Order: sequence, then structure tokens, then C-alpha cells
Amino acid sequence: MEASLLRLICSKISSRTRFFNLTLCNETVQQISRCSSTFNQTQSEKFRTAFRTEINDPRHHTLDHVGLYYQIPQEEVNGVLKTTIKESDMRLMKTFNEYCLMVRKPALELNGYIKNFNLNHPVPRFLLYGLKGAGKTCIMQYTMQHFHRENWIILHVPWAGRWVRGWYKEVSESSYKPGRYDTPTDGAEWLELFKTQNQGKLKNLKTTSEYIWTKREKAEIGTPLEEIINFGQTRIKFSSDCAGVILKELRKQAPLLGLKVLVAVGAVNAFYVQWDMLNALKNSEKKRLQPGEISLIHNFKKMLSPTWTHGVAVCTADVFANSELTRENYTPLYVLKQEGFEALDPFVPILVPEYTDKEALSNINYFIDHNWIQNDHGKTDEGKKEIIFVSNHNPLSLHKICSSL
Amino acid sequence: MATPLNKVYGVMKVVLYVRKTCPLQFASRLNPCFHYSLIQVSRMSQYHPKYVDPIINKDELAEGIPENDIRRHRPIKAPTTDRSISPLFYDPTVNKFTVMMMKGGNKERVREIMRGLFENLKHTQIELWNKAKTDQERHAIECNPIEIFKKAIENCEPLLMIKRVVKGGVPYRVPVCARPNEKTFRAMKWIIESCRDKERRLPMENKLAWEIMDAYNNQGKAVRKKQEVHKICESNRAYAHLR
Repeated sequence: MEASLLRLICSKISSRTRFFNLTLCNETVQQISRCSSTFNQTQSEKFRTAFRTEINDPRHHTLDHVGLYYQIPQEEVNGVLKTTIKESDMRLMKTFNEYCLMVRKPALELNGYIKNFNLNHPVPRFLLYGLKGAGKTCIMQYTMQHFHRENWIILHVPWAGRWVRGWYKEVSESSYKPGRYDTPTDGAEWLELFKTQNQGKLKNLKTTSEYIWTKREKAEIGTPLEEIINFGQTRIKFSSDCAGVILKELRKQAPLLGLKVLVAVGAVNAFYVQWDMLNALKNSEKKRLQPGEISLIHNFKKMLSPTWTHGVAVCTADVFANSELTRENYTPLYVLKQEGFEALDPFVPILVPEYTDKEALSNINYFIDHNWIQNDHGKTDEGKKEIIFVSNHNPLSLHKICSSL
Repeated sequence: MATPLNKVYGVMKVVLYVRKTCPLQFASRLNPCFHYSLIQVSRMSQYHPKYVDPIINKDELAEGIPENDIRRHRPIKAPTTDRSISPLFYDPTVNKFTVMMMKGGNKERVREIMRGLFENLKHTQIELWNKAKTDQERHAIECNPIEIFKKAIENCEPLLMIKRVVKGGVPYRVPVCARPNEKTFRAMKWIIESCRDKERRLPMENKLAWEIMDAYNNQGKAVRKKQEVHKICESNRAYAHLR
């Protein structure tokens, strides 16, 4: 009797929320046998407030989980996702005492593409673009977490705009090639990030050629990559060169050793469009630097060209890395400008839309569950509708509005 | 009287005339068509005194106006831009505080500060709420930022104020009962002033959040200021009869 009822219910349930329902079914089977009509009511209420999945592994997420929250373990927040999570979000997570992300459709789409890609082909480029606050960076975090669990090596630039600005930064001419400029602090910072994000994955990697730093110091063939990272961190002067060495070695060795490399760059347009405000980087002759002249950027640009295999590049296009006068649109050609578009072409553009009604509701329900929305009117259906309307379905403005309720 | 006064002199003149010459209770006796609302006209109002206030509440609007209501026959004022029908984004106390903190008409900035203030209050309280282990502890923690804000202002409100009265060429500091509007005004002013010190160059929302949490617990600069005023009133109570 019960089994047949269960089948009947499962068939009624729409495909989107099936997983959530199945977990509910076991609890409520006994209720059903008593009274089926009340069961339908309570279930519909639970649908409305469903905002969470039990599956915390991004590898097992499907389209059924779109709009639901899943939990990230603490080690990954301090490991792979370090410095990627925004400060305000991090503060919220600390207050809630748990780290949660929402599963979104473009993220699943992107992960599906990467999973089904034949890695023997040259590197494909995926470009995430969308309005401000639509969730481009969050989707990159999701992808990074997914492929970190599959033991990919991750090369991550949190926000490339940082590398082209900063009047306080030290800029020195490269000892490797004249006409190129090093930013020692940025290089050391990136090496530190690379080390924390790839703990335990770099053990077997060794250099395949000799690198001479100065007359007395050099790295022999077969030096472990970890040693090069340490050298870059202690001798900050060579940090940009060390980063270049690591990128070059990975490019060379990925097809030989069967490594898989994920290159994730936030705001790629900073690589191609010159930043022309007052705080742009300048050389000793007070001349503004082109992005290509900065050695870190020069090296990372090579990772985005389809000259190597066994890797995937995911980038975001952020208008806010461009100058203030050109922030009207968010489409790839407008943001990357002609030069950047041609450099990345052909790439797969992925539009990151704003929240759908379902996602916005699940976000609000998540906040209510964690006691974040205190206004009594905000907890009613009418209030939820109003919040969604005022935020215009934009995730960032929804967060801002809810922060004062 | 054959012709009503307001037709002869115009409304405003009558109001001022009546105010000067006769007390309120005689105004209606003087002229039967004289309406009470005419007397409460504010001098800087851009509206003709015939205009009545609009209905802001959505539910009240849905109910409709009764047959004999005056609003059926009078022109209605347009609602001001800072009023909203939504209980999500409008609160009279918060609005008053926002306007008082504003400098040079830059309300957008002050609203942003208020948003940050409520966010900070919520962060501190909800973190405590999450850390609390028993239900009893949780009930004791107030998480609603607007409730905290109102309670803090209530704690800063003085009961007595000091007024300067000159009697026989000698000025006296006389303690008087504070009016309700004056009370809230003083409380808000003290809170804002105590956060505007230039020694600590910190974001205003952070300083306000600390000050309000202090005032909520009956501590801090603003509450101390209230106590000082009370103390002066206490020492000058011999002059209380002079008011």
C-alpha cells in the first residue's frame, strides 16, 4: 500500500524539486496513509520554503538543485576559496556560523562544458559576463571548488584590476627582459595564493630546464616547484619571474604528466584595456605602463592563448576594471574592447543572468531562516514580493536591501 | 455677525487676528463657519489651509472614506517624498534621525550610513544569538535593529530640561518639564554629537553602532549627558517655582 502511494507521489512531483521531495517522503509516508489531502497542503508549503539541499558536493548537483543552497566545508574556505569570497559575504557567513553558496544555472552549464571537453584539444576560453552583482565571481568560485575536488591544479587571479593600479606599489624593471616591469609585492601575493590553493598537488612537479636568477643563484634542472615558490617569497625581487617559471612549467608539463589545469581570471579586461586613472602604475620616468608591459600580466596572457593543451581557462568580464567613462554596457565586445576580444577569440560566452523568481525567493527564505530579516512585514508573502521588486532581481542589491531590514 | 470674518479679511489674516485677540475657545463662537483646522495653520506652509493631509496607509485607503468625512469635499496635499507606504522601508523615528544627521542636503549619504548602522547592529546581535546555547539565552537577545535603535533613544531622553529665566535683572537656570518632541530631539542630538568627535577617524556607521549599543545598555556618552542635565536640574530645584 505504502509503496504504491510513494510511487504515485513521486510521479506527481515536478522534476525540479524531486530530490527535495524524496527526502520529505520518508518522513511523511505515515501521514499520507492517514489523510492524503492534508499531506498535499503541507507539502506545498514546504516547497515554497525549500532553499537548501543536502548534497554538498558540487560534482553531484543537477538542474534539480538550481536555486538551492549547499554548504562548503571550512577547509575549502581557507584553502581553495581563500580571498575569492567578498569581504561583506565573508562577514555574513561568519555571523551565520556556516558557509553556504547557491547553485545556479550558468554554473552547472559551465561545469558541464568543462567536464565533457576533450583535454587533448587546445585550451578553450569561457567568458562569464553579466550585470554588476549578478554573481559572476560566485560562479567562478563554484567551478573552482568543483574542479579542486577532482584534483585539478588551479591558477587563480582574484581580480586582475589590482595588478594595474596602486600608486604606492614598488615598480622595478625586469632583470630578465628590459622594457618589462615587475611588481614584487603582487608577485609574492600571488605565489602565496597559489601555494594555499594547491596544497598537496605540487609534490611531484619539478623543473625541466635551468633558470639563472643572478650570477651566483640558479635553479638546476629537477628543482621542485615548491622550492621555487619559497625562493620567490623570500627574494621578493624575483617573485614575478618565479610566477612566470611556474606558469611555463605547468604549460610544458601538463600534456606530458597528464595534469589538468584550471586557469581562473577575474576581470580579464584589465589585461587588455589600459587603466588611465591617477593611480595607474608608472615606471621611473613617470610614464604609464601598458598592461602587457607588466610581467605578471604578460605571463598570464600566455595561459589564455590556445598554444597548450590539458587546461581550461575561465574568465569574467568586469566593467569596473575599466575607466569610469566606459561602464555603460556589460557585453563582451564593449568590456574587452577590440584588442581583448581579438586576443580571446574564439571563446564561449556565458551570460550570467540576475535571479529568477525562484532563486530570489530561496535567497530571502535563507535569510529568514538565519534570522537575518527582522522586519515582520519582510517575512510575509507580500513583503517578500516587495523586496524582490525593489531589488529588481539583482543579487547584490537584494543583499544590500536585506542588510538593513 | 452678518458677513463671516474670513470673507472680509481673507483666511490668514483672520487666523492671526483671532490668535492675537481671543483665546481658542471663543474662535468658533465668534464665527459659526470657522473650522477648527484653520487655526492650526503653519506659517511657512506652501499649501492653502483648505488642503488636508493625504492617507498614507494602504489598508485605510482600501476601506474607503465615510460619507460625512471632510476629505470628500476638500483638496488633498501631495504626500512628501520621504513618506512611504511600506513598513519595510519607512519608520518615522528613523526618518527623523536621518534628517537630523544630514549635512548640506546630502540625504543619500546619510541613508547609506543608516543602512550600515542597522547592518552592524544586526551583525553583533545575531552573532551572539547564534552562539547562545539555551532558548532562554536566545530570548533575552534583541535582534531587531529598529527596536534596539528606539530603545537607545528612549534611554537618552531627559525628563527635565533647563530654561534661562531673567527675574529682576538676574538670570536663573530653572528646571522645567521637557516636552515630548523636545525630549526625542535632545536624545537624538546627543547621540549624533557624541559620534562626531574628530579624534577617532572612523566610519560614522561604526561609531553610531557602538554608541547605540551603549545607550541600549544605559551606558555611553549620550546617556551621561542626560544624567548631567538631570544633576544640574537637581541642584537648581530651588528655582523651580520661577518657570
